[in-house]
Amino acid sequence: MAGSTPEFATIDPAPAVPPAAAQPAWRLRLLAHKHLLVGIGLTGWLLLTALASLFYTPQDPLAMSLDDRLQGPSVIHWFGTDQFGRDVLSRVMVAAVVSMSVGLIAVGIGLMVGVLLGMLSGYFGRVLDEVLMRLMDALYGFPAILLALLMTAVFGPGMLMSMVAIGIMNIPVFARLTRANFLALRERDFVTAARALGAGDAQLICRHILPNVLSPLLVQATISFPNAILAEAGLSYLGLGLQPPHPSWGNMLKEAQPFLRLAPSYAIFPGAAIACAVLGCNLLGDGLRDVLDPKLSRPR
Amino acid sequence: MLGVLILAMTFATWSTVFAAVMPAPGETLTIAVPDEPPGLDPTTSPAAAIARIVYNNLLEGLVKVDMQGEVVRALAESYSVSIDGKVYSFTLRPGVKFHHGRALTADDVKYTLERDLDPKTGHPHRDYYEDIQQITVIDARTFDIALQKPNAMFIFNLARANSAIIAKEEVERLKSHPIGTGPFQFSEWVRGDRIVLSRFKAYYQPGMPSLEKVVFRFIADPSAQMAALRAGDVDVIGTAMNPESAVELKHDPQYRVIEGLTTTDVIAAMNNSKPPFSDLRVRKAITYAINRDDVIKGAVFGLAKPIGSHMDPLNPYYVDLSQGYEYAPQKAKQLLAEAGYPQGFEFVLRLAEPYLAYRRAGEIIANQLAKVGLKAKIEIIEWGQWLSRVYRQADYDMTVMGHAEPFDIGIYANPQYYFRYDNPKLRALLAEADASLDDNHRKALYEQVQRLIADDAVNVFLYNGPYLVGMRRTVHNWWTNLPIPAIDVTQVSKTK
Amino acid sequence: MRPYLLRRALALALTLLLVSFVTFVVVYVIPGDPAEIILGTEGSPEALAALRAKLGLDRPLLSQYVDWLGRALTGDLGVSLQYDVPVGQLITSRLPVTFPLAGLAMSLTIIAGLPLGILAAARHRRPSDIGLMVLSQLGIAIPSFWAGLLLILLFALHLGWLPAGGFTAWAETPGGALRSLLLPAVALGLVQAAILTRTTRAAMLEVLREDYVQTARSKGLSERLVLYKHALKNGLITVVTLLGLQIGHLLAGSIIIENVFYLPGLGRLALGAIGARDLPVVQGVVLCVATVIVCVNFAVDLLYGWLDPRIRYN
Repeated sequence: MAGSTPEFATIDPAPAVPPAAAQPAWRLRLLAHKHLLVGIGLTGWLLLTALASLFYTPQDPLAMSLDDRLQGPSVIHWFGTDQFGRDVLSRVMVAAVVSMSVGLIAVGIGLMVGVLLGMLSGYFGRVLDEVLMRLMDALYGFPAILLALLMTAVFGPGMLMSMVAIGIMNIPVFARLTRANFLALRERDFVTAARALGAGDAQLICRHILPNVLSPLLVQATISFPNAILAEAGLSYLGLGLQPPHPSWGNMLKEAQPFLRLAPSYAIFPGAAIACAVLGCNLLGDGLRDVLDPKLSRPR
Repeated sequence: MLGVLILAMTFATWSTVFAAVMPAPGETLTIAVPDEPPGLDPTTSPAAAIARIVYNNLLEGLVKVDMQGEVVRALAESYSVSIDGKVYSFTLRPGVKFHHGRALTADDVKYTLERDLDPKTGHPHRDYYEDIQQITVIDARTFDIALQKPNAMFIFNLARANSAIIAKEEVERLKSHPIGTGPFQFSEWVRGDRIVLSRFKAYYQPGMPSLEKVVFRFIADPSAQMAALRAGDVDVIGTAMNPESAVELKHDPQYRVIEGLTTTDVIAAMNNSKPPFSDLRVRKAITYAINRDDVIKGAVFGLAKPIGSHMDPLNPYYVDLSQGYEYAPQKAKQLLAEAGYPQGFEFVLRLAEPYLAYRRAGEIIANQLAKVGLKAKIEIIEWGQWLSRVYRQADYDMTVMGHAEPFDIGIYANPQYYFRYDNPKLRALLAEADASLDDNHRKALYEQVQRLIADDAVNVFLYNGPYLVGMRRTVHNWWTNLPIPAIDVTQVSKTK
Repeated sequence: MRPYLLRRALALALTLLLVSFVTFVVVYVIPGDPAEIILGTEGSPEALAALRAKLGLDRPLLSQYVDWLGRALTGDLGVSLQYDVPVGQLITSRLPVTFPLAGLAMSLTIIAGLPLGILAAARHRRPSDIGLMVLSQLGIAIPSFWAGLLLILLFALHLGWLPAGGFTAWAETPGGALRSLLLPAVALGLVQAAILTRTTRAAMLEVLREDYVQTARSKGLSERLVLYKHALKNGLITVVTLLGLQIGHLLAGSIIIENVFYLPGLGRLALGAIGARDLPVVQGVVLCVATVIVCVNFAVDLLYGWLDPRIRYN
């Protein structure tokens, strides 16, 4: 999948020893939060646009006007028009909602099911653990796109299927993360202490272990979310996501491709929207990681 | 001295001109086509993509359709009809060989036609041959075909791609490596990329074909087609060129654009057996709610002619009914209310994935119908699925498709055809037309048939699929109209 | 080491079995009767039933699966329903597109990513580092198919240097084939290059922190020597394992890229086969690709374990 990083959250380490020419302290602090700032800015702006599009768009994203097809950017149509004369800007705005929702729900599915499976695996151990982890390996080994293709072949294309398919793709990551953290935390002092004080298994899991897994889970979610957006765009580009006439960034790019010569701007704006969304989420994620994992939050 | 110089220069000039103008022997022509055929056997699949590659190039019939739309003799050297129209006597050309070396005989014709008739074969149009009562082989080159009753369409049907004569021993390979009698033989099929045909040296007409090799390259993306043409990777964009590309190429002196008519009737088909489409008022309402001009603008850049019934302007019996239903959304809403749907209704519009123009038309239609309360859910399905679900099982409400076969109005007489239209009056008219050998009488009957179909609003008749071909100026003798779905390159030549 | 290897090998076998089962079952749930699609529009009910029996579609799922698995293990993946050609042959005919594409993309990734990552680490926090970090952030964010479209726009349509799609066979002109693969490889490798840059930089920085590097520095060794001799060697461990994992991403990404550039590779074969309900082809391709990825992941695990002894005794 484009854009995915290796298994767990990749951490950019910082050198403990500052190089010879040390930078002034305030500049370092600004650098530290730059990611977060830009990330919040971009993502926030996109989120606002997406929400706003539910109430207002410059034009009706579905209104066709065949005499105005394939125009470049103009005063009336800031992003130009598509092959049916529909306003590209309005469609890009509405498509933002699609991307965001698919991303959220897909990651949500992956998280919930993954955590459950990881917990079960870690708790029961033995055979269940082995089988579940092999299943995760098998799932992890499946090229995600192929899995989505098969699913849409079974259930038909559409937004719901994209969510489910991408959600399933995310399960192994969360499952493994949960299991690893679970196993590690199980041996920790505070858990042993709680057990000695007579806490039952359920109580141990819910009140002691889970809260400590939340942090790495959230970090992983901030990585999976932009990947989910990219995955949805890819599926839509192949024609497997949201069906016409409803716009999604991916299917707009697919429709723009035959017109690359005639109306290049048509292919540029939706793609730029995807890049902005992913960039913003990546930066936001980086920034959140800095905040949530203070051990790693050093001036970079 | 001067004289020799002048002589030499004249000679040099003329030879260069000669070389430039004379078709160069041994040339390879590369043609871009948008869709890869699902096999190369025209006798078991209705896909026009097959005919485009094999018709007249690889496989030949007793007769064929030529560039002017006339039915002319191909494998048959001569034929005659008995007075009562029931017995056709054929004499085959001498010296015709199949690509694998064996000579063509009358037994091959008998085998082919009997196989076409056999239900187990799965021929898409057995009805073409249903009237055949008996095929009698007289000798290696002569045979008779006896019909149960006179059939005016019989010779034309023999000229179609699915009537090509095949060799019995090569039947198994038809799908992937067809053996025929055409001027080109099958050379190679790289799945997903290209099909290569090469000159058949033992072809019965000496000097034909002009080309040494023909390569059909599958390039679905219009931009890629244009880029390939400009880069010289292909010489011709052979069919379904993107209309926007046609407009662009017309201004470029290095290329030639052919704009003509085809036999493709592009229609928005409705499932006449399924309510609410079974109600004539609903079908009429849908026809009134569609703005054909906008559809033509959006789907084919305005480069097509509207039609009003299921016949193309190239057909001698064509009558122009395109102005029959004007764009009148108010009338549509009225009719819907009368039929009991004042709020409209929802339905599914299934569109076949590979055909960009029809998909666009479908989206525009959905947009227009929404304005009168008819909400379409668009489902884009793959071609195989379309063939299976829509075409075979009639599992659909509405779809958009182009019907490329010429003179195929007979499909309306088949109640099992995917329109599921059942009109005994129409069947009677068509049967009468088939049986009549009087051209004027037939013309009048076919006009009645066209009007009947239009009045019954069986489908929404959109436009005649435009024939748009772009090529370099070095390619010559390309068909200027498309009276039958084909890319007949038997007469095409290429200069340097 | 032996019991560890054995356990891992068993795990691999189990995973592959699960993969094959999932592939087989999922494909069978897909609606659309393959017999109908083969016979097309005029298949009579008897002919359909006969064909279904011939294809073995009327036997219980499990017995079909066992049969299929048995044949697959000997290399017989069945015959394509659309093309009437053995599936194995179809797959091998597409490899000359997908393999070179993946290989080219991988090479471009390494050529671009590694040196830039090392450079960024060496010039840590100076303008070139910051610039590279910004660029790589952009690189990760750009979807590969959009990158492909932009590349087509610039290099094929505007400048005309490279083809906008399609594939010239190797047999025709090797140069032509390379030209058709260049833009797709760049589009595919771009994102991976950005990731590689960041990971290399991170790995290098991590290593540069280590005590033994400080020791080398304090011994007075030049920065460059420190960098190359010590940091690079050890930082590369992470990088190499990352490259192994990227093969999976490359194979998956090639499905989309092959679509953008209309390349007749494995990806488009799979897509087309799903559309045509060509079950043997879908099963064959998915099985092959998934097996390759699982095996590569497994190999990477082993390699990582061998290179980094801390992990081995897990």
